[in-house]
Amino acid sequence: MQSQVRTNDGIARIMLRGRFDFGSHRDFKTSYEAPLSAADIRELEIDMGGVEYLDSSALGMLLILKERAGATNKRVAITNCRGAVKQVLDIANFSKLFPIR
Amino acid sequence: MNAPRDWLAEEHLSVLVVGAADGALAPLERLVSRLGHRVVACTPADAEARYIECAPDLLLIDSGRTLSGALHTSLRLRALPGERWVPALYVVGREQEPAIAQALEAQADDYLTQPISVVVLRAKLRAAARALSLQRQNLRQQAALERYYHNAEEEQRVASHLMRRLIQTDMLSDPAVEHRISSASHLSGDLIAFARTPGNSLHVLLADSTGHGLAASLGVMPLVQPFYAMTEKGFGLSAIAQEMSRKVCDWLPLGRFVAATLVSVDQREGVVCVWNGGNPPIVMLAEDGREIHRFESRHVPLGIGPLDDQAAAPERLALRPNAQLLAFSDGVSEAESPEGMAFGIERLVSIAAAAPRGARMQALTAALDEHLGGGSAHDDLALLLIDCGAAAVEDRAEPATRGGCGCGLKRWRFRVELTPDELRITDVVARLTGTMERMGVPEAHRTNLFVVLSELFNNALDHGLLRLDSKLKGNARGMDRFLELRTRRLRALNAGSILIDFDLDCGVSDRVRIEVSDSGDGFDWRALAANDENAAFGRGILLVRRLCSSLEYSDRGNQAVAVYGLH
Repeated sequence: MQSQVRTNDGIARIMLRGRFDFGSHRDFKTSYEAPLSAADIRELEIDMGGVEYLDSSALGMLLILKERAGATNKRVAITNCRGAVKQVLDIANFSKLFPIR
Repeated sequence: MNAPRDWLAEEHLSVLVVGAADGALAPLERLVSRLGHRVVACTPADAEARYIECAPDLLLIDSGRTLSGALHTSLRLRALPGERWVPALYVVGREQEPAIAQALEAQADDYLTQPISVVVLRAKLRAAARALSLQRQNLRQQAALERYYHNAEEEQRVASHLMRRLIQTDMLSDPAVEHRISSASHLSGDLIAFARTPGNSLHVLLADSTGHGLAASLGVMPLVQPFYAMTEKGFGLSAIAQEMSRKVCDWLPLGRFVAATLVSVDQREGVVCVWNGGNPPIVMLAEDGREIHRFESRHVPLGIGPLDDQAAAPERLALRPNAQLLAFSDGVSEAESPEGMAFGIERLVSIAAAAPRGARMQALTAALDEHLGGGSAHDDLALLLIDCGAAAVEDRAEPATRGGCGCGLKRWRFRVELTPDELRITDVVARLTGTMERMGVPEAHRTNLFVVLSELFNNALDHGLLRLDSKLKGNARGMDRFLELRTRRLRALNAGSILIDFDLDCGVSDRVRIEVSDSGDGFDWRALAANDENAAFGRGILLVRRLCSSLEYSDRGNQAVAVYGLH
């Protein structure tokens, strides 16, 4: 999985590409470390637009991020979910935990 | 572990110098020694003994007049047991240079020409030291890796044995359930479990823990014990889901969770309940394969947060005659073909639907195997087909079950009055049966007493207090309506009570008297009791009659007294 981060007006948009699964631990963590420790960031937006596949380990990573972001008063939103990604998030009812746009 | 010290790079090599005593042996020894290395010098005849003694890092072999002698020496030394690589540096005369290529291919790692340049010797020894250092590091890592591998193997072996024993997959058997489970690695993160309540409802659990392998397998462990223990005691799905949720939250680290589906099939009541948190839908198929309903995932998986009463409430549906429930983990619906195509939920459902009722599991597994094309799945697979057919199971409760009393207590009695707040608590009967157990009611009678008590209690609640009409239960749509009304009225109930009086006499008359009365208007018990066994409702009273030596209703029908013999 590849990631790219763009920051604008207090929102860090983390754009992910490829398969978001148990092999993506380090990549995903690296992508959010900087925005998480930046004081002027209020929200981390996980952009799933380029993600083809999402597994339960990825859901776990999202939960860890949510917990860590909560500790520094930052929000986490998930955006651009389509196809298989949307289905996995729906089945896990993640809309009860994250704003999904 | 400390970082390995790169002592070889510090140039203190242990060098074995081999050469003819009358040749360059002594000057070579002096030279190497002056460069700061530990040196042992010997003739070719002593080489093996010295080599074993001083375990050198490097060989310096003076070839004398012919290379073949030097080659012979290094051949012999390298034939000695040991895993270390010991580089051999040849000292050759200028006239031997043309032949050195052959030596380099065979045994030598490098060479120096006579007369020896101190600068070149020092550089070559340093280079050898660097290579040695890398090689030693490699060996250490390889050994560590091997140790790790063996440990992991052993851990996997123990863990998979333990998991098998704990889950007892081989012992799972129920005429109403067909299942298939396979794992992506040694250990499966998918779990299938099923068991029957004392009232003979079938409970099924399908769980899928994050990831796969050992960690995933450990993740499903907190579910196993509550599922079996609470089913055995007759608890309903909500209470089981809440207990499992507590256990998973307590035990698993952040980021690890378990998607779980709980199913209960109660044939006597004609109700299916499903609680689905994070698994693909459970599909209810009619006898002819038509899809009747999908129990979609309505909740987040277990282990993400606490499960309140509302979130723990299952979805209820009336049982259709000869219906089947199809359940699967996402490993099945997402199983990829060699071309990378997912199997898909719709395909699963349509294959099951197209097959004849008795051959659906076979059709599904065949299609899945064909789809995988001989390859193995990336994820654990769990597939279940639950038969809700009336003929699938016999009632376990039987009047013939007699184990004598032997509880040690002569006589005891308890009375409990339940008001709306207590009645809304789920599993009142399971809790009361638990009390009976602790009072020492013999095991052989527990199932029967649970059935008697729950039938009388449900009648008092459904008809006495909630004023629900059993006639609604005549068909599936009516049953759905009945369930919906029941939920709504129970939530709104603000007056009335049910009194349970439990009187056990052991030793004299060897019987239990169970009285259940409610504050409602009563109901037409005569009409219910007149029903035959095939009627959609009223079977409860018939069953109680069969189990008990007597069952009497008060005139209005709001007080029932059953006498159960402990013979």
